[in-house]
Amino acid sequence: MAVTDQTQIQEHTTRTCHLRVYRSSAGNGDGHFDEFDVPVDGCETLLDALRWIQLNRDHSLSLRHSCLHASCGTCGMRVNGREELACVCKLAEHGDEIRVEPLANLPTRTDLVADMGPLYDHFPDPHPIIRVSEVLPAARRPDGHEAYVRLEDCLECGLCVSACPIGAPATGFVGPAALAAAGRLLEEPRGAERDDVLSWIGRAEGVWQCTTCNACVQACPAGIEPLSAIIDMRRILVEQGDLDPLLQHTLQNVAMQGNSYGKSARTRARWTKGLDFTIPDARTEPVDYLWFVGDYASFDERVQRESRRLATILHDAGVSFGLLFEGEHSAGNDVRRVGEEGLFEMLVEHNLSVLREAQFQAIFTTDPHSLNTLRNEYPAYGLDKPVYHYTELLVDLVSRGIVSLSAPLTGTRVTYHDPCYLARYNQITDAPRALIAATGAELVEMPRHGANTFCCGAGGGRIWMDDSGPGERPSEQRIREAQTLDAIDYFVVSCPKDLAMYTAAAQTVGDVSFEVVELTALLERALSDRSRSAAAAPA
Amino acid sequence: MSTQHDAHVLIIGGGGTGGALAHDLSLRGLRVTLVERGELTSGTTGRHHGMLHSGARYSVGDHESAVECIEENMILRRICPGSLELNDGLFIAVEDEDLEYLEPLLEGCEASGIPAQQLTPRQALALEPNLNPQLKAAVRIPDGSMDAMRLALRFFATAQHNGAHIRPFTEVEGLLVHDHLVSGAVVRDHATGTEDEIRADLVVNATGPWSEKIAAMAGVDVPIRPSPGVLLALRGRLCNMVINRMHKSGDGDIILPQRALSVVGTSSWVVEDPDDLPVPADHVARMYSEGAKLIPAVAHSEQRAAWSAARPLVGSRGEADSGRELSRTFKTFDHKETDGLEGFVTITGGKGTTLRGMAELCSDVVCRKLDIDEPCRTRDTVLLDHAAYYAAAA
Repeated sequence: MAVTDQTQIQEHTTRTCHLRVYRSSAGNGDGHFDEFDVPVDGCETLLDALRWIQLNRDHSLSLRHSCLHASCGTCGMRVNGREELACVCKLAEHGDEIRVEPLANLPTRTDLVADMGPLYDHFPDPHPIIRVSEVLPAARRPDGHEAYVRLEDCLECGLCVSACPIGAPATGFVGPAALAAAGRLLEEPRGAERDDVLSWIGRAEGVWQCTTCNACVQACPAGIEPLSAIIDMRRILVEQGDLDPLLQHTLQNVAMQGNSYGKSARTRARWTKGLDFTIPDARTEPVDYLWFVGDYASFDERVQRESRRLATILHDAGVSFGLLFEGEHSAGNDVRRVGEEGLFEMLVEHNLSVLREAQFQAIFTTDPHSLNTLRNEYPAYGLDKPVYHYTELLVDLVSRGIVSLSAPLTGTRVTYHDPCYLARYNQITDAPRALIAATGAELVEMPRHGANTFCCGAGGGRIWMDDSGPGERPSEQRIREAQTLDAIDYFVVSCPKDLAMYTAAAQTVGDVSFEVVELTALLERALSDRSRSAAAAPA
Repeated sequence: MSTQHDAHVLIIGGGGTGGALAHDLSLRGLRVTLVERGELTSGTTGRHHGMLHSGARYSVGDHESAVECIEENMILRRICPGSLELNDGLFIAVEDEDLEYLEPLLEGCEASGIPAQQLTPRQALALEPNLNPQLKAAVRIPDGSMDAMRLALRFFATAQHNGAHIRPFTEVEGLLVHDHLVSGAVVRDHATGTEDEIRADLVVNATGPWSEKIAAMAGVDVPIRPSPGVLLALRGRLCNMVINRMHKSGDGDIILPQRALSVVGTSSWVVEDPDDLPVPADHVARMYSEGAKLIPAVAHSEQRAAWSAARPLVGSRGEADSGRELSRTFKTFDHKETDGLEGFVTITGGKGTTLRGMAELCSDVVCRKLDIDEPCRTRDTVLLDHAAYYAAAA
């Protein structure tokens, strides 16, 4: 017994965590990683580990810290690619290999020290940090006090700016922290002129840059939701008619025809013409699944091919599914996110009235944006059917052997891009990976993947606005990220917008050795004995 | 602004004390360089409870500290508008024996000039509904919360604006000592990796619990005990006022709101090395159990963080074991007087609330030594916003 105990103690005391820490000296382009083994015993947080390195291994390691309890926002850094405050970053939650880098989108002074100056350059003026407290509503105010006061929740830590796909200084975007502060000023002006704040947020560098990817909300250590503030402010601007002409035109299209393309509503299901079977109209014929196709998969020529491919796979598998045909209108996810709440509610009302006519058990959709609003927002208006992404449906069919992938793509190497509205909003990251695994292809992950994915730049209505601003587009940065992987054959996507965005981005970046494909295309290649191909069918 | 003086003062230590000192000396027209081995406020300053003391906590037994606190409390309200949560504080009695402290507290506050108002338990609960409903007495005093890091940063921002050269990530490797005179320091700039000498007419050691280490570089000793305390940050704002236990200062007897957190503190013991501060699990447990006596919801609140901060208490070895017995006042040591060493001053002790006052007295000593006749101007100079520090540094 004694020997065993001794061994356990030794193992315990010698267990180490391997840290790769970014180093650079001021003004030199000498960035590199230094490696340290840190004893886990006695180091609860990443900050403990970094201070252990300072005291025991390398005195010159520079980092910022102050309060040690997530109240000052000084020790922000990237931990395995994710923004964290080191003082509350538990080592135990990060495994034995940890990569530590300074915040992105801010200049690095040295090592892990970000220069916070640019963060403040973008804060609205005035920049009050004391607010009237709205907590403890039961409390009576003390005599002589107009109200309780408190410090603003924002720690000014820069984590949201680092996580923002549009946060690079070159874009000029004022960033989520400054916009959240502007949102607070509109709620509680404290000396600010409302019109000044509105004209500031309405600039090209203001609220319209946001892709609504939700990374800022997930990075914030103080529970602030910059994105909610951004959408609320867009609503005010839209109400005033103060919006990008291109966007205004798109919203008019949606209002007139129920789709963002401005095509006649009657042509919505024209993509089915190339199929050698007929898809039932769920409004007149009961089906198991109602396919809510979405605007891009219905109208974009390139994505229409993918829609036909999916239709064929499902048809061949004997799945009972139908469409709403011209009855389907845009689900309104992005209409809501650009701040057009009234139009969103009209779309919900229309779609729900058509859905009520139809007979089905569950909805699936090809579009993660539609999925998000149908699954999370339509229930508040009365939708009571489950909503799935097509990858969830296909995983079920594959696992039950209804779809058989018997021509494995052995030797094929792919990477997969998680769409924000699947991964960040709806935690759907396993289903697409399970499908890729089922094809026999080898999945090579990009550094940013799963719930920590990187935005394609199209969300939140950005795809309807001019994106020719300064700075490299997020979709192009993402293609470059995939280029760092070794010998990839396919860049796989599962969102119609992604197919459009990344096909274009790959052309712009140029010299790309992989092909951008929809997950359905990969699946089709792994299906056995397929004599026909939807893609090959005449459009 | 005062006239410019050629005298150059090197301040070692980028905490609240060093920042306030750099601000004071810059306003008096001196040339100031401040070096800090890490980021500003990375030592004790950023980690303290964040309490703007009324002085009531010290009014029974430490009259000197109590008077300093209420004076500085009122000055900070003037010069740091917008950086303080000014919701007042309560002392509450939760056990019968706490009531024995009521009269001494009221008398102590009166003697120290601290406005104190006795409330009935019902009145206290109306102000702070989460208090222990069994409370037996309450006294309202002008405590508050501060942003420990950003309040200090405003001093740095203003000092920098007035010409002070603030150098974080710059570590002192040695002092230039010849013939009983300190004439500067050898520093390493961690950002560039370079070493250089900073010559100064006077060097001030403002390194708090690290004072002994810096003083040792000049071959002298200062009677400073690093006395850590454990603090516990809980998720959720359980109170708006500062809640104090009505008894002699003890463990876990203050709960302070801070943004969306509630911070319970603290404990007290004495260590040798301020760089090596454990967070003993039994101290954290005591913060929970003692804090819950003030606000029962503490017991079920989720821990956001627990940490230790080292106070720089003035006192000799063997004088005190727990640190509780040591005064919270501050002291300037002119090493010419204590050790026959010219050009070197240590300022230490004190607390966040009194940082400006400490700097004033220390600046008086510095100016006297340098034969400069300039008055202190910090009592009425409103400090720049903390963001000005970064804007100028960029």
